[in-house]
Amino acid sequence: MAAGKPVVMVTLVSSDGQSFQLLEEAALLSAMVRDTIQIGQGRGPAGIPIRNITGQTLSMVVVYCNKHYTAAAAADGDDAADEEKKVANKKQLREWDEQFINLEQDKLYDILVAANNLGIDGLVDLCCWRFADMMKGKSASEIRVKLGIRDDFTSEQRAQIEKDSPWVWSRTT
Amino acid sequence: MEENGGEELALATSAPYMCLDMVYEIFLRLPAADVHRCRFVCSQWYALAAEEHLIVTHRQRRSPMSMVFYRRNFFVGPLGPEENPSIDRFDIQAVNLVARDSRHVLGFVDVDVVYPEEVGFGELDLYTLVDPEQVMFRIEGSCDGILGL
Repeated sequence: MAAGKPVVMVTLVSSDGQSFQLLEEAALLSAMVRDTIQIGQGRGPAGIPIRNITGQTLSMVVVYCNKHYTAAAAADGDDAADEEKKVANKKQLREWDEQFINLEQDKLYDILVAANNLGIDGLVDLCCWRFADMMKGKSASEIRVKLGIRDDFTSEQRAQIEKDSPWVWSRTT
Repeated sequence: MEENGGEELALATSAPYMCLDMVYEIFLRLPAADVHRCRFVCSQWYALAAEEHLIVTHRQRRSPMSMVFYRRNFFVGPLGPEENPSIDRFDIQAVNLVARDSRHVLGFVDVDVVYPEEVGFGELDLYTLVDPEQVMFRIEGSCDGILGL
């Protein structure tokens, strides 16, 4: 952080009334916060109400924002010539991400929805990668069970699929 | 072929767990073979995986593999009626230029081929093979070792 810069904090308020204070620059990772501040709101003591996101989830999101803001600020301060250090820092951040997102499915889902609503691209990306990893190599029926999705193919649709690719049901359901 | 009736009853969730926008994003991060498997989860996913936009974006996002395709095997079995001969084998092999390995990507066995009369047999265009029902297909692109037709 540059010494002369005033420290501006913003407050995010979860749907269940919990408040989280963080540096405005960290909160700006969220497009939703960015928009709110741009139209001149959200800097007051009341903070920015975040609907539909509980305190438990929001606290995780705040941890992510703080970490990524700090990492980005540190990278800016680094000597541009020091390539090796940059690569090492990036690797470190990636490892942190992996640990951070190593969550059980329901929590992961909450964070994905939250990140999507708040418009935090990096976090959406991270969650989607994690979900993709969880789905890799699984059969359609395994995924259905995992995500609680109902097999809603009508018998006509199934007949059509069987006709188009007869090997499908035996191998993928 | 398996029956799935019992399984359907066991799963009671009616609303889709994830909104399709998110499933779309997840599909983009899955290898093509997994997207293919995921299509059969439910009808919404099935429709999503077939969307042109997804297929194109998916191909662009996955790291491209420079490949050279060539016809390895192409021979004609006993000719049927003159206007509609059949091919017994048709294999396409590809070489991955970066990994320097070659792989078999496509093979037809016993395919009836219809081709324009004026085109000689040896000049048959690789991309316009016609299947017995005369449905044309083209090679749209390849991704993770799967060929998009």
